[in-house]
Amino acid sequence: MSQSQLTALPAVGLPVGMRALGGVVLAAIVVAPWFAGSFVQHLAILACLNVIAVTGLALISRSGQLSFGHAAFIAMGAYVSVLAERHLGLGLWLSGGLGILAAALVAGLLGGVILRLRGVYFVLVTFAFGELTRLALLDWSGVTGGANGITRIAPIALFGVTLDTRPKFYTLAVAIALFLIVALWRLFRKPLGHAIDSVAQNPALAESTGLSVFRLQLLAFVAGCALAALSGVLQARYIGYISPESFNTGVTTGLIIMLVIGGRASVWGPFIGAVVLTPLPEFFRGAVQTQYVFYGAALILIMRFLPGGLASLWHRFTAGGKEKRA
Amino acid sequence: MSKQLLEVRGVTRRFGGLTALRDLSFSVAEGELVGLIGPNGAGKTTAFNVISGTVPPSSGTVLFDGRNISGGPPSRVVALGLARTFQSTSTYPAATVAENVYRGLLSRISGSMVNRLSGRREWRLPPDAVRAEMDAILQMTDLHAWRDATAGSLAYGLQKKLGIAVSLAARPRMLLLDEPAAGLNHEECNELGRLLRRLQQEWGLTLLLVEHHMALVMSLCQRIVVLVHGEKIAEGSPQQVRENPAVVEAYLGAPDYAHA
Repeated sequence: MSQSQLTALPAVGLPVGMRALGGVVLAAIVVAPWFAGSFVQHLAILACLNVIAVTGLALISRSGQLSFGHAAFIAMGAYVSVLAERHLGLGLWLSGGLGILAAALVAGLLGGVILRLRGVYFVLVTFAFGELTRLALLDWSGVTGGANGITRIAPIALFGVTLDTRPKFYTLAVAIALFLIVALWRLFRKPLGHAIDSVAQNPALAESTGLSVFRLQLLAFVAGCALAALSGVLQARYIGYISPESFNTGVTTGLIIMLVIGGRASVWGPFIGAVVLTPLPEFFRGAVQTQYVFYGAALILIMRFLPGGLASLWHRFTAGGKEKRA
Repeated sequence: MSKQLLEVRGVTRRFGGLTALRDLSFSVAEGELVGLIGPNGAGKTTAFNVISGTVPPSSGTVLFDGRNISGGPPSRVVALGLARTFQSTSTYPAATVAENVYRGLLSRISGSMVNRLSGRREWRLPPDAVRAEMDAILQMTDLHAWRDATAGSLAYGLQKKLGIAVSLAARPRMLLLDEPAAGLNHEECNELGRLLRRLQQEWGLTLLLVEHHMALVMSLCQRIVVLVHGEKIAEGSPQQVRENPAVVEAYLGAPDYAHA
């Protein structure tokens, strides 16, 4: 669908030189892992999986809600797809699709009930739902393997190629991650994307101009949770092992921190957040006890001095301080 | 006699022990410009919220174009052609003026998931029509010069006008205005009066406004409904209302209100 109607709006023009520079940096970050060592490749893959999950979270956040149960939907994608593959003998496409569908369905049911709640209540209920899911996975050991989890998950085989090495898996993960960023970028240039932004920025006004706040937030929630499930499907195949502890609230918190530090209002926020924060714990390996202190401090500083996240630095530089606040 | 577009029938609204509206009935004919007045706390805004679907009535019904719209949701009421503005300024402050109007148009752009999901009749609005529509609205509301300015950076009077522009973008048949003149200076107030009259005459819009600015209401409205303590105490032409002893007693007070 042509978006020429938006030519009526002022373009957010970035200088061509800055765009080129950004493109080069991006390309370097994306290409480097193929030529790097095995450990960097591992981190790059985890970063890509995080980009996918955080992009889902960003979609929910753009509609004006914050989900604290994101890890539960990653778990659903992982468990449902792995179990479907193992017990029903389904192939990757079907089992993965089933995992994503299951998460979307649960998100639809849950969202249908709780999206009428605003602000802190929505956060609380999603938090409780996340814990509930983790406990259910622990308790239902006959199916899920309980605390032992599920081991020896076969790697992905696509079009006759088994993605059993890191460079091969990275190729798939980075392709999906970039595709999603571009898809989201396009979405927020379409009427539907503008409608989602409208709902977040002024729900009463959006509703009174004929946009259904409930329907749009439900749509964003379902799509965001489906993306979480997609990252779960991939993660299970890459690591080869899943357990309830791989999806605790700490994971959700980590994803939210990536989103906030990367930038909530930009489609590049999830990418920046994941690329910056995924390797970070590795630097603090010697200080496992204190790494969350650094996280907390970083979060407070960002919220105070850079509420738009790292992604907003870009606009701050290119706009030449136009957005300077009083 | 022209057709009644909006019919409020026996609407009562209670909030706990407080009865904000008691058995309110009135109607607005197609193309009419009607004022709803009354002292603070008379239930004017509650009446607005009930009509626009933000708040369901405790009893009674609201009919728009013969259809029951009591209880909303507001997005459905708007889809049927009844839009509202808010008492406080209501815009998307971070977006530009043009973007604000564009967002007001969104629900009419076909192909959007919103329309499909809600199973609403699709209004086909191709890109050039969107642009033409935005231009027409910016022209009508005289906001052209501020097209690319951020809504939040505009002066108060312009923000209020932008609020009207955003509601107009949904192309309603009827517009409810909640205290459009509040906080405006004399010149802005006159301009508002001219805008509302043009909307009625040139665009054939039906208007219902809640307003405290008596000079504006008296000069603009064809008919006035007076609410006191949630009840309608009078209804009629500005002349009739002005001379109604009950209205003078309860609300207008001194007879030189018109110079306020």
